[in-house]
Order: sequence, then C-alpha cells, then structure tokens
Amino acid sequence: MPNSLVNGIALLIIGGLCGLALTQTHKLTRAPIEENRTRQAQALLSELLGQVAPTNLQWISGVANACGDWQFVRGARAGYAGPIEYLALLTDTSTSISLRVTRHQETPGIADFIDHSKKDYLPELDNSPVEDWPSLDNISGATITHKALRAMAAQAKTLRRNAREQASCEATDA
Amino acid sequence: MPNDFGRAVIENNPAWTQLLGLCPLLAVSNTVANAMGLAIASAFVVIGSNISISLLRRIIPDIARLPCFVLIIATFTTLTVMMLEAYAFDLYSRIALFVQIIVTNCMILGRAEVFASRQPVGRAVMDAMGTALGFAIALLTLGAIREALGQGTLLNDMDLLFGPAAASLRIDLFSTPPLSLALLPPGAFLIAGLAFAAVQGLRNGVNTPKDEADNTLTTERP
Repeated sequence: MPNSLVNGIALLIIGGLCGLALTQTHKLTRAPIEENRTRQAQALLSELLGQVAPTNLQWISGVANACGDWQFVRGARAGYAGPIEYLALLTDTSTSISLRVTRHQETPGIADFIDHSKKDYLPELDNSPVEDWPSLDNISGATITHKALRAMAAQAKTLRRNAREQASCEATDA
Repeated sequence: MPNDFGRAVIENNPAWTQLLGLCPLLAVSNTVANAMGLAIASAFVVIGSNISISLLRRIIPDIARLPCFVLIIATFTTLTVMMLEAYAFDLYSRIALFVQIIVTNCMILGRAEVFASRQPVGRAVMDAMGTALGFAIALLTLGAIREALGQGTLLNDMDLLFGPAAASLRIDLFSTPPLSLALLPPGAFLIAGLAFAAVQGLRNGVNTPKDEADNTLTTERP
C-alpha cells in the first residue's frame, strides 16, 4: 500500500477519534452550558432593567419587547481580535442606552474596560443619550475597541428601528 | 519510571527551569483559586494528550506529526473548556481565555514531541503527571505570593472551584494589602523574576564542586 494512503488513513482515524470525543462531550455538557448561559443572560437583563426581567421575552431580529417602553437589543461588532457581542437596553422615552459586552476576545489587560465585571466604564455610561455616544472618550477613541463601542450604539438603534417596523408598532423612532 | 516523574517535577520543571508556559503563568496567577483552576485544566490536557499521543504513536505519520499533536492537544483543550463552562461556570468566566490558549502552550507540545511520541503509555503518564505537578507548583507558589501581597488574603474564592463550603478556607493575612502592585502584570513579572532567581540559586547551591568541575570538562571545547 502506498505511504500516502497509509498516512491518509492514519490521519482519518486520528481526526475521527478527536471528533468522536468532542461530540460525546458536547452531548454531555450541552444542557448545563445552556442553563448557565441563560442564567447569566437573565441576570444581565435584570441588572440593566433595574428589576427582574421577564423570562418569556420574544426576540425579533435581535430585539426583545419591540413595541414596549423599552427594548433589549443584542448584536455584535468587529473589535480588534474578533467580534464583540453586546446587549443593550434602549428606552423609548429618551432614546438613552445602557450597554454591556457579553463576549469578546480583546487583549486582556488592555481592553478590560469593556468588561463590566472588572471595570465600571460601561456601567458609568448607563442611560446616556444615544446621540452622545459618538463623542465618547474622544482622546483615547483611536482604539478599535472604542470604535466598536460607538458602532454598537449606532447598530442597536438601527436594529430597534428595523424590529419596530417589522413588528408594525404604532410609533417608530427615527 | 518514578525517575520520569521526579525529573519532570524538579530537574525539568517546565516553568522554573525551562521557562515554558509563562504567558498563562503570569496572567492567571493573581490568586490561588485562579492558579489552581488553570493548573487542573493544564494537568487534564497534558495527561490526556500524552496518553493519546503515546497510544497513537505508531500510527501518527512522521511527516504530519506536529499537526496531529496540535489536533490532539486542541481536542483535550476544547473538552476542558466545555467541562469548565458546564460545571464551573464562574471560574470559567474568569480564566476562560487562558484555558483556551493552553493549546499553544509550548510545555504541552514539548512533552508530546520529546517524550510521549517516543515512549510507552506508562512512562508517558508518569512524565505528564510530573510535568503537570511541576507547573502546578510554579502556578500555586506565584499565586499564593501575589494574593498574599496584593490582596492580603490566601485561598480566597475557593468556592468557585470546590463549592460553597470551600468559602470558609479563606485566610485573612493583612487588613491592608502590603503591595497592591503584586496583583498587576508588572508585579507578576517582578515576583516571577525573583522566584526564578531563587530557584536558580538553590540549584547552583545544590551542585557540588565536583559536579561543576564535571560540567566544565564536558562543556569545554578543544
């Protein structure tokens, strides 16, 4: 049998064994992981809302409670080291925004400021008008992470508008 | 076989002697709990990958051995990440990034290439256990010093690893932390540098004059 064929079969066996181990572990851990993530998301929603968040939220294109007084928006923008996922609370009355980063791969230490469990940078901006976000932190705004934060605020507003149109709400914001 | 274990822990200690795995060592050793979490995760990966590579050593194609080693190590790293996210979620949230980069840890790839791919399973296991213990000793030593100096406590947050009952293990050493810098990256570099120097000093002290003479003879070139 030619060497290349033997090597190919060997690689298939090794790859197959690795895949088998991963799929079996995924089956075992899928339920607890999902439960942990849901619990964490629910805690974050409640923290942003300032009260216990409803558990039966209907999400339309990344927006929950599209026609209500407030909306949760979830999305992602490109950061320095990959997508930065976020969750934002937009209020209908003053179009103010509160935002939390839920997942990122930015450089530890340098971009710790976007992690609300480590720094108060984002919590201190809670309920800021969306219009103020483009002027956010002008001096150090040169970093890609800061630019991503600004893009998130703009995207959250756009996503909410789209969802409200899609849900045919009575009033839509600009 | 016990020699493989002892050699891996002391003589070839991956952190103190070979200076391998320094990125996670410095980044995650700010508390004993974090250090222990990473030590357990690294131990699982190094032992699992050494066993697998040793078992598969006769079928791993020589021409593609490094990709195979990386595939196997990445598999064990992913398994560790999934288990941590499922059963130790709070700890996972704190050290997830550094668990994921275990896959690029030179210490583990080094043991696979130098030892596990050439030795039977028994010896590979002993070597992996020694390597894991050596790395754990380095992590926990640094973690204990940094937590004591920077936070004034020892064994804080152990409940993240061992459940609510372990919260009582916390020991308060100082009411005011004597050196807050110890928790920050520069503090990690300084303390690790001093620890490396101390270990080298001890190693040199253990060497007898005869050993030194022998070393000189063997390294001298005509």
